[in-house]
Amino acid sequence: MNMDLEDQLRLDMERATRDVRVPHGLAIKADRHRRKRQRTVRMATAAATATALVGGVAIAGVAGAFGEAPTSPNAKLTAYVIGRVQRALAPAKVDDMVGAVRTTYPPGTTIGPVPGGLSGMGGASHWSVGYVVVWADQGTGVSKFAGYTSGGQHVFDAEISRANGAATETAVIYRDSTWWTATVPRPPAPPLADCIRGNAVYLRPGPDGGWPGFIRSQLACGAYTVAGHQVVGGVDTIKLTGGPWGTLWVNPASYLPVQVNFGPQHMTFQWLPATPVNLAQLNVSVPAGFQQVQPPPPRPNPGTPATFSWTR
Amino acid sequence: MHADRAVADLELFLAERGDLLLRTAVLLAGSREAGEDLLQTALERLLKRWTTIEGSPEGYLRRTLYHLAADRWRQQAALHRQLRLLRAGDAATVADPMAEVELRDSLVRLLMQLPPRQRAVIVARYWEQLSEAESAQLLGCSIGTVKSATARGLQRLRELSGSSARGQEDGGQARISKERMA
Repeated sequence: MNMDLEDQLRLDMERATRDVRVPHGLAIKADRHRRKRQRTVRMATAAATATALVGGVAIAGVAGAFGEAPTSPNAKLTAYVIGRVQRALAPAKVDDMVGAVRTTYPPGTTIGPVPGGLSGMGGASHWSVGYVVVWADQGTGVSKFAGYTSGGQHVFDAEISRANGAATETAVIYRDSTWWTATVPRPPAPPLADCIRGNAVYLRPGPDGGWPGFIRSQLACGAYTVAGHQVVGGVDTIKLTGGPWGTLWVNPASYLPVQVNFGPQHMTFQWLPATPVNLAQLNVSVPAGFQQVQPPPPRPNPGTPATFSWTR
Repeated sequence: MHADRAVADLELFLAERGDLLLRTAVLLAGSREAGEDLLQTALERLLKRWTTIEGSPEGYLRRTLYHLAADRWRQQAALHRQLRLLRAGDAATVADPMAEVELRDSLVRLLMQLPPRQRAVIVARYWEQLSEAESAQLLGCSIGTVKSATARGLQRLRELSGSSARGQEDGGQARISKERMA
């Protein structure tokens, strides 16, 4: 027996874990997780049963989509994938990222910036928009909405920066060469519903807010199951279906969302490091010669900032 | 109500013994994050059986840590196999951050290359300083299994550290020389 190796092993083990301290509240976290997992497994099992009852149609759909014999929904696999997505979207992980979410709207959608975010779908003063890219600094909550026609023409930019409990929005409308600025009260963070069942999504600002917080809260409601794989945007994603608000595709390497389908709209995600170049995407500058105008009326209910909505 | 009291009791217990348990979990799992994960899972199991456990929960918790450490990797490997099956025809492997080793000390880093069972035995014997009989009881195996797993684990560490030392010697940074290993 070689004592040197054993002594060295003990020393290295001691040194490697010297600074390890158990985080406060681990038992509470374990208890919450245990309850959540019980709920997830129960609901996944219920979803699997429901799928089995629906029978041939659903199975044929899955087989057609993935070109393989269907694998019955597996509660353990689903719980594992959802756990990884939840962890990938935890504030500690995404706070150093810049998220870019591109939302593609159905033809004929009109939308425009108003103090507090975007408003639209049919307003007379709004512009025909094919897609909107929302840039968000997950750490600070600073965001920018950039609207484009379906052909890629820049329609508007609106930047919302937050300081001292208030948000300032600056919007530039390229279609009529105008701009406005407005201070909007910081809306109170609405509580995240356990499971969205309505026809609107409310993204609360701040830590664990935005899309990461929303997706985390909705996955926790337990209705999602792994439904196979699908290539989306060049990524061979894991597909999660069965939730009340849409289908989610996640990157199998990072477990970050790649795409969400939500009613008639779909959103594609990019997760970028918060480098100066990427953070610069959040800035809006007013081009020379643009005329300053009065801002339009703010959103009717700034306390519940709907990012978008649709009617089923 | 009952569950809340169990959680409160467990928090008190962790304030006393948590650091040591987490250090063990980190060594078994290979990284700080994975160690916390492992301990949290063991705590979940403990909470599930709280009412049936008499006395200090430490024994149950430590046994669970060791058993999970061996099972966990098997489960994860199985889940990754399923994911690969779902992604039919794709040979690309799924990146596994759990496999990332954050521990930098050489022998601990090499320890992570051992199979889970050997690693658990080495941690029990050389971190917890348990006897062969105590290790066997903790791991739920025979003393003979502990002996053979220990011997194989140490032998493998010796080989790995030998090649690591050779590599480092090239750069003049050898920490564990071949002579010391002999």
